Amino acid sequence: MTGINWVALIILIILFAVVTVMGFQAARWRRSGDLDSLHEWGLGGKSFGTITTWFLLGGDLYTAYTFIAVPAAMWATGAVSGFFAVPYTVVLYPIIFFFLGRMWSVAHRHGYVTTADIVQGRYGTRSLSLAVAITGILATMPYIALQLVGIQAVLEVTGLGGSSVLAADLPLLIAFAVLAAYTYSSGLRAPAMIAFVKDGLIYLVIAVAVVYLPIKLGGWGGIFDAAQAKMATPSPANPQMPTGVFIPGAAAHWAYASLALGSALALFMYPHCVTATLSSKDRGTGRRNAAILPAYSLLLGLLALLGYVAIKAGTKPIGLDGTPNPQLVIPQLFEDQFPSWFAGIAFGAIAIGALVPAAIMSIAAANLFTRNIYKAYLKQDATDAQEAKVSKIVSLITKFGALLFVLLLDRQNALNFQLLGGVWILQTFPAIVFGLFTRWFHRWALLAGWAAGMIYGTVIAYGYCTACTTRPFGNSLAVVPVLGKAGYIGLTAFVVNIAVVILVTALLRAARVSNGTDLTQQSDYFADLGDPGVERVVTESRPIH
Amino acid sequence: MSNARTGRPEGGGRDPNLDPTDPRWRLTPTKYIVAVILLIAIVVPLLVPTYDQAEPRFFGFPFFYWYQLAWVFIAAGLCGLSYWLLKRERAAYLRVHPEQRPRPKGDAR
Repeated sequence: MTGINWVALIILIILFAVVTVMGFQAARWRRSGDLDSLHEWGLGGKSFGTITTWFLLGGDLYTAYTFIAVPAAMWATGAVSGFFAVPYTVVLYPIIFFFLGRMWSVAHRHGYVTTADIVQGRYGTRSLSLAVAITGILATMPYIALQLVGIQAVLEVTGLGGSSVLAADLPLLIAFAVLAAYTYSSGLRAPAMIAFVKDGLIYLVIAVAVVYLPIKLGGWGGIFDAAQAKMATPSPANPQMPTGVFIPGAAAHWAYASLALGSALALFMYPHCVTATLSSKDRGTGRRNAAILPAYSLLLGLLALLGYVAIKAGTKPIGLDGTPNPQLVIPQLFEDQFPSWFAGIAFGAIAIGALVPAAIMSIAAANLFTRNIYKAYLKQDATDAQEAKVSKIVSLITKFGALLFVLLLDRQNALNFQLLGGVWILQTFPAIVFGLFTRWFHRWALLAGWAAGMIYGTVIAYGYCTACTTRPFGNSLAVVPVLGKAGYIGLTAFVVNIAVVILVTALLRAARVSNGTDLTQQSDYFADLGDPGVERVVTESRPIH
Repeated sequence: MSNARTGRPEGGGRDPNLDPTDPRWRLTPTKYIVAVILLIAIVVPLLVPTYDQAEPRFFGFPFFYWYQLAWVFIAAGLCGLSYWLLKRERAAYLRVHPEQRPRPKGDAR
């Protein structure tokens, strides 16, 4: 890489500027609502229809994870570390179809805004909802970190930054500053507005890339052959082992399936996905989206294969510090294969595609803190304006947390950030989702299961570092006890969690220990817009604690 | 054991004002069918041994890759079918019980 690619950089900056202006304008979109209330700033007024929700969900589901991390993993080590994202997004929608409607209904009957609210309403147990809230905030940080890595990769390929210690992190710091400034100003309405622009750009870029590049490089057959050849060569780090996996053999089947299933179960536990779901205007919106969101999954699959395209094209993702960095492979592919102006558009699409979800994530984590920690424990009589202010500050703190993850952990395998968040967030699944269907599970059992899963997952994930540098949390696969094969740590911890939940529930029910106060009733889980008690706009001031 | 504050039985009580025949809070045959359809869409794409091979190829894509991309469309179709089945069940119920129809927004209370 020599110097700065000025054309690409200028187009990137123009696109960024357009998006930022739109972000500020978004504050005035649809309603001249009062952004000083958490409800307006954080949920966009809960009035989004199927199409807006589709863009919004797409905006937070398909992120730098899709554009940078998955293709990078495909380029570096092949199918098991990257292509599992396709079955992940395939099984995701049937899974959420089961519980999204119930979640929407109970949230709208009772004015719940977060998963911790839902757990609080079902069990009336503050320690359990606190556990859910803290886990949500913690798990969001590495996911935002992944977005920062994505923006950084684009800026680095355009040539910003340098090899000195300070300059090397310059792209990262710019990415962070842009994100923070624009989220702070206009809340959730900004990302929903920008999601339209972002998806337009992304579809344009992808359509050109997946049609033009394979033709230019001699067709998909040759691309797959090149990938197969690369995966079979001995690994530079460990010559005993091949570089990667082209088609997983029997030993890797469980790793592949468990990464897909674990990621799918985890996704809708993240605060930002819940925010997007609850901001839809009726019960069916989420389910209609389950049928149309897969359009993004196809995109994800084709993007993943761009990692193989880069192998065929001989892309050399060398960072500004002179060492190879797989995360740069997609921006580098675009810079090598396309004229500068188109590379600039692609960079803009990728950067905005990371910016939007990062904004949504930090807002959602902030909502969680404000509702379930600040208002529940610190200041119960907080006014709307105070809540909105605290939310804005916490969203900033969350981004700092994400920055720490980027600086302290291994950036070479950014996909792992998302999987690490998944290890944690998956442990809230029993408390949130099981409760939507039944009150059989005991509140203290759910808390014990959560603790067991968190401890097991964190300890195992911290210690296993085989395919990475010496930094902690380097790998998300570990040998599953009993099964004896490698599997996703998050899913193993989830099984530990459920085992503890069932065992302790049986004991506590036998001992007739109180299972808390249930504020909900059965019909709450089926209510729809127009039913008694379901308001189009949930009143934020209704107390939940 | 009953709920201390409301006196409702533990596990979330039923509202006596609601029609117990409403399919929304009953396990109907349609719901079993939908559950089976969705479970197929969850389990089958995860059966890696059924597709861990390169042949037959399709437009240069090894079987392993195009088969999974094909499931994107199959799963979307199955979700759409499930949505339609549930919607049909609800519509059938509302034809018989027009008084249960949700009131237009504005006079929800």
